[in-house]
Amino acid sequence: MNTPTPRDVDREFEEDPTGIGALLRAQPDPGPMPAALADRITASLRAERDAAASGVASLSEHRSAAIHHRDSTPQRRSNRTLRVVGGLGAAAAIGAVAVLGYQASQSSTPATNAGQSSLPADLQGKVFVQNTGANYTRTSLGTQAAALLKSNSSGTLDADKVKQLGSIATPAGAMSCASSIGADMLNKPDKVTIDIAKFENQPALVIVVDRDGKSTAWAVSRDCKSSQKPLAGPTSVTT
Amino acid sequence: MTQVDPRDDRALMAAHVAGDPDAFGELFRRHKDRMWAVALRTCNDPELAADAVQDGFISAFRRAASYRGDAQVTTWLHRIVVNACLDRLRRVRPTSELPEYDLADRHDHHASTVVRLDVQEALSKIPKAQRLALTLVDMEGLSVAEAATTLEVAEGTIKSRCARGRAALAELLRDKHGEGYR
Repeated sequence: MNTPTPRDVDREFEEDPTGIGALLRAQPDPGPMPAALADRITASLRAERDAAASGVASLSEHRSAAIHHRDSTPQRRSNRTLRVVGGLGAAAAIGAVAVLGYQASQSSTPATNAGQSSLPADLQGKVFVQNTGANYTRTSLGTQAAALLKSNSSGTLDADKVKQLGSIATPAGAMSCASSIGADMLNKPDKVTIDIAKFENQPALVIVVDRDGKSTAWAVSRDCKSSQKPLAGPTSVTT
Repeated sequence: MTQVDPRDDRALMAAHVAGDPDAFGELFRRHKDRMWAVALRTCNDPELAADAVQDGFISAFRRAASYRGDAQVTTWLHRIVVNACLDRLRRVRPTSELPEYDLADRHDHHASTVVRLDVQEALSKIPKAQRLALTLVDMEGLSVAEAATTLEVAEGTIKSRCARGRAALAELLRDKHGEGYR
């Protein structure tokens, strides 16, 4: 048997006599990265960034630094829990960087209640995440925010919803994104209600902060960039 | 409304290294789908791929300063994600399980379900080095030079692995479909 020369290899590679190269090129694309995975990686990168900025040990050096949400078969899923540990961008805003962790079981246990323990002590029990999907508008932000507070001000998202939406559906993740409204606004609130919704037809978070008997609303992009400005607000909310 | 960052990939890498807190996030947004595809095709398992692509991006975030700019950022990312996949694969026992994710249908005759799944199965049966070369060159569309850089081998090696891998795949598919796979 003759050993193929480099020229033979070149020719075989270029000519693709079996047609397999063409077949492989025609294979369908796997499609975009699942949103939940993108959220999980975004949260991990944010944790890295925050850790680097604050000079603390990198959160992702602990395997727990990522939000471990695995798209699994039911069989695999039954053996796993959704493990969420993320860096809280808002922690910088409120003066601390914390390694956050919570476990939301695959049962119907409300995930946001479980997630309260991931928050700094002065926010625990005060942050509630909802997912109304409403489309808020600039002109009616205050009115719509009032309706949000009246509808279910202690609303919770179950584990399935957290799995679907990713880390932003957790109190810690939502607060991380909410931090763009400014540290002062999140200082010692009585309650923070966050709605994963739309603003002017764009994916957004609507944040309603209750403090000293007043409610104030903002809308922020779900991009969650540290440098982003609120899309709208502060807007007074009259309940 | 989300604004498109006008900086190119190299500029974003430089900005990230210089401390721009949003630069790497933009790189992630730009390349996440492609790296996800690379990870899926390399790991052949969505769960492993998810972990590997996360490992890869975290690694890239940390090692950005080591990027010298002599290759495309995407090539550099490919290398990191492929290596993350290989690390993950080394930790688990290989299985012949077919991937569980649904592939988008582009209505190509080659993409019929039966052939598609058999291609995935056949890919899992050929040597890893050949599979990686075929994944990068034939499926991800990298040039031979880019694939060589990614896998840190000579260009001739890439061509050779592709040629041998195609021949092996053809043999496996011919057993199931005759010449009908073509």
